[in-house]
Amino acid sequence: MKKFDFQLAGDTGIHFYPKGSNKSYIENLLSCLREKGPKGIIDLIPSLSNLLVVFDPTNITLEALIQYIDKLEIDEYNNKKKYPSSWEIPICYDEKYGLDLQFISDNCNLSIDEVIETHQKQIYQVSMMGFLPGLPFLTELDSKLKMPRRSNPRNLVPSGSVGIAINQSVIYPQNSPGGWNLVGRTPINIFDQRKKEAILLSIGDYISFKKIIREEFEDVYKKNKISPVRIKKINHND
Amino acid sequence: MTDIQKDPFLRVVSGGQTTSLQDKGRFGFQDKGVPPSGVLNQNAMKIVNKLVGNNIEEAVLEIFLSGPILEVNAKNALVSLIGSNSSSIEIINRNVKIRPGRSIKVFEKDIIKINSGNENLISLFSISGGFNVTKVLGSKSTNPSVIMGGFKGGFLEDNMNLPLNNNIHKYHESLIPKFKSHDQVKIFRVIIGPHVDKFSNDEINKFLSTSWKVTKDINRMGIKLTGNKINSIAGRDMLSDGNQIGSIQITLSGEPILLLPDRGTIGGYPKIATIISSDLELIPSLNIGQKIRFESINIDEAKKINIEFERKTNKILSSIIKI
Repeated sequence: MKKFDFQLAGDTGIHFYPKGSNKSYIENLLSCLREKGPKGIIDLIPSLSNLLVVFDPTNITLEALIQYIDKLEIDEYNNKKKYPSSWEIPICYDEKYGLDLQFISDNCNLSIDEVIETHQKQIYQVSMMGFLPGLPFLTELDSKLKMPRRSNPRNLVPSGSVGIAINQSVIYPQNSPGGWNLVGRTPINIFDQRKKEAILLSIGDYISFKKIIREEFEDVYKKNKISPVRIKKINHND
Repeated sequence: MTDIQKDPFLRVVSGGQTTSLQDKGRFGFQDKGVPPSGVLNQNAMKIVNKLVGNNIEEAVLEIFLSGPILEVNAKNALVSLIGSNSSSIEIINRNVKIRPGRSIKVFEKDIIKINSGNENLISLFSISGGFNVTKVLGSKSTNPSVIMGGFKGGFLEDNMNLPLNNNIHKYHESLIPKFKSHDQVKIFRVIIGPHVDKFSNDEINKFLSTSWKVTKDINRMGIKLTGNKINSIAGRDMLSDGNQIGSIQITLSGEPILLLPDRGTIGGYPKIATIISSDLELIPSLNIGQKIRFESINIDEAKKINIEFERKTNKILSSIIKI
């Protein structure tokens, strides 16, 4: 019996759904196909419920693709795979950048300091990327901060803004309209299309936020215009 | 080699509505949220490139709705257009007009007007040597909604200069393929799904039996259709998942949106059906107000159709001759 269910997305796409509650299946299948996927796979689009594999049928048939994935020893492979990167991302929770701190505080019955502390102490994992190039969906937000998206999305959320909604936090990689509740902003560029490695983060990466004051933010921000700031990698494998 | 000129370019006299640089697309980064962009009609792109002696995957101008006016700032070049029967390339200063599907030589200071005609949503324009643009994540394609690739990440604007590669191709005077423009098919063949479990059979049948109308809500992210309301059992809390080009998503209000190459990589609306890859080539021939229908086929039928379509395209590519 197959370890997955699937649904077709036309003749060049197929969604693989894990069976049962095998949560890490999607992430493991993704890294497996990324590293040693067969010729003919064009794109991989993971989400919380499934993995969409886009393929070129002139290079690999649907049947061959399904058979290939069925034969993969994904769990075994997972044990050997590289440990995901961990990043410490500076964030300024000044109300100049955390435009919704007051609103979140009122909504969640916490003081602004408690909101900041609750958001900052959590270690997050990049569970999905999308909406904008390089935008990470970070799980899991402390349930004390659980609230819906803004009913009136902003027309312009500045690049680097950090927002929260439901059980997730996000970092905006570029200026964009957006409806997340803003807690602060990072001076780091997580997306720079001029670079070869344009997108800093990957699915599975761990993120922790390091609180910085407004002066530090502005200092880093200015320097960042000249050369990108090296982000300290942390290790919480222990 | 006397034809080579330093830093040739096209000056945009008038940018038209929404013209952008596109190649086959930016693939391999959708797991990081980067939409693929690129042309819908990949085979038309190959043909229009071959018509000017280019590599068949060179980036071309995609004219979405009305076309631009361009001034040639190169010693000479070969240009071509693939569009509807009423589309044309007009060399205004020489009072010359050519049909789509053939090439013409242009010279320094020629003023080129691209008439996209009124039957087509999208036409493609190629120039020998191609455009001299840095690739972003492996592609020259423009995604204006995230300001990426192409000419400064956006559409053509008045007075912009579009840098050209030095034309080192040894091109012919003019090239034409031996083919007629494709049939005016308004029926798109689809494979039902991926979200088959979010729609009842009645709703799927309603989707397939409705004659849909192309609305004015059109851009490179999607085309909104109107004509009926499709009910889905997916609510507001459906988990977002990967979007496929050509999938038809049903919004909360029950209207279908046909997803195009600049759509977000993931979306939270259920997708009722997906247009087969060879029929994506027909999307550029749509226009506002046009009626379309969807016909359900299975994967084996889709495979046969694609093989036949590839065969036809290759036949056209190999038939391109000098005149």
